[in-house]
Amino acid sequence: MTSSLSTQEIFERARAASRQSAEVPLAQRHDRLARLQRLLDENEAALAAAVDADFGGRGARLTEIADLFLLRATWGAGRARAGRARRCT
Amino acid sequence: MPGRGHIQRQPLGVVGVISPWNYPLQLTLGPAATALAAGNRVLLKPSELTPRSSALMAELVARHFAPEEFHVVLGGPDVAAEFAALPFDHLFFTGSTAVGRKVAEAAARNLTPTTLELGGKSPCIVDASCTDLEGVALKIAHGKLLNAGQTCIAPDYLLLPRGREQAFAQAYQAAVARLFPFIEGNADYAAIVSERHHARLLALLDEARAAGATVQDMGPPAGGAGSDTSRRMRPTLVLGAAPALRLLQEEIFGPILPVLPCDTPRQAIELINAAPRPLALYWFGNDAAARDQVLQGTVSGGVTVNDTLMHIAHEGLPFGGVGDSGLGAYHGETGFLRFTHEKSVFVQSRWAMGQLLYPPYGERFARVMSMIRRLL
Repeated sequence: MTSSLSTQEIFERARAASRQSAEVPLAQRHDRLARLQRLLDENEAALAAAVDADFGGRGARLTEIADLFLLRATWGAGRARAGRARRCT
Repeated sequence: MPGRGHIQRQPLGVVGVISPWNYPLQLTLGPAATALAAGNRVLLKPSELTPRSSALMAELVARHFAPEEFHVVLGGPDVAAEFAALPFDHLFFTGSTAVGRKVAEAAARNLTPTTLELGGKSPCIVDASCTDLEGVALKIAHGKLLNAGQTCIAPDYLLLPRGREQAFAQAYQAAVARLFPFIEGNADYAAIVSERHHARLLALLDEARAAGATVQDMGPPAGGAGSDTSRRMRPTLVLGAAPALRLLQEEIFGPILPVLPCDTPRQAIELINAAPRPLALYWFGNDAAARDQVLQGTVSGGVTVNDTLMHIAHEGLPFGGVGDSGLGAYHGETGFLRFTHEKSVFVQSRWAMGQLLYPPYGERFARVMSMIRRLL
């Protein structure tokens, strides 16, 4: 399922949505990150196979260490950070 | 002032991410995830050089996200140019310095702030105090040959004390054989991404040979030189390369390691400082004073001491370039803040007496200011 909208239209929709709700609740941020994590977990093999085909040779274990390992580390820390929306001085 | 101040962290709005081909998942979904964590909406333009993974990401993202939440845009350089011209609230680019300039120009027309993760020639210094050449060569080979050298922070060239070139070459060859017992058909060793990139790397070697440099094949015997038809390029060392060669002027981005002997540690620093500021710098040795001389005497995006690549994986360290190698940094707290607006909010107190300093600036103003000056 891909969008039939043009890039400009999608950008304008995203921009309008970001202006309508400037604050994004913590639960919504966590939900987006969880969906991204699920996208990766459920399609890891297919993504690695696509990278292998793109390079004309790049094994799944290499993609695991070179791409996915750092991604997972980033996401773990990102979830912890998502809630720090306000900081007093 | 009796009032209070605080910083309210808010999403920037819509973040554009333009990503490269060399790490087609990490360098796309990594910045996108950080931008989403900071509450932004994301449009992502992955590289056209990895069409299958880019198309699959577009399909998967469309399945999990509304377009106005997170969307992937596919296409070549023309699409990338249109994408960079959109008035994003922030534009995050990873790629070459040449394309980064164009992206920055396009973004500047909209006053869109940018993060530019670029490249450059990252030096690797082996100090005279280094005793374990075998161990060092293994770490350098790993950093250089991960993804067959197609890594923005790969050690680009090696600086070591004159006279140790052949000892290093032997240690490097042994390290390559340990990491990659065979090259052709080895899934752990990446192919060069395209015929064009492969041809460029071969041309760099041909030019070096023609100019009198020595190109040493570092690959293991299995598979044999010249048998590769799959773009898995055998690792090489280049000795005696002249400074004017493209090999020493351009970021290599492949499994070729030029070795430059130095007569003094100072000469290594001077060579580094004569070139554009690199994205990464690597230093190996046991002499803390020599290490600090390099750390203080050079400017690079990041540094790993006694290893390669590792500073990119440390969650507490910002990752980014400086000068020609980039603008801004991400990873960790720095990355979160890169995609966050820190809004200053001052809440006035009911006891505030600011009106004492309002015009007209007469006698009362003079008395209050005199008192304030005594306090400050």
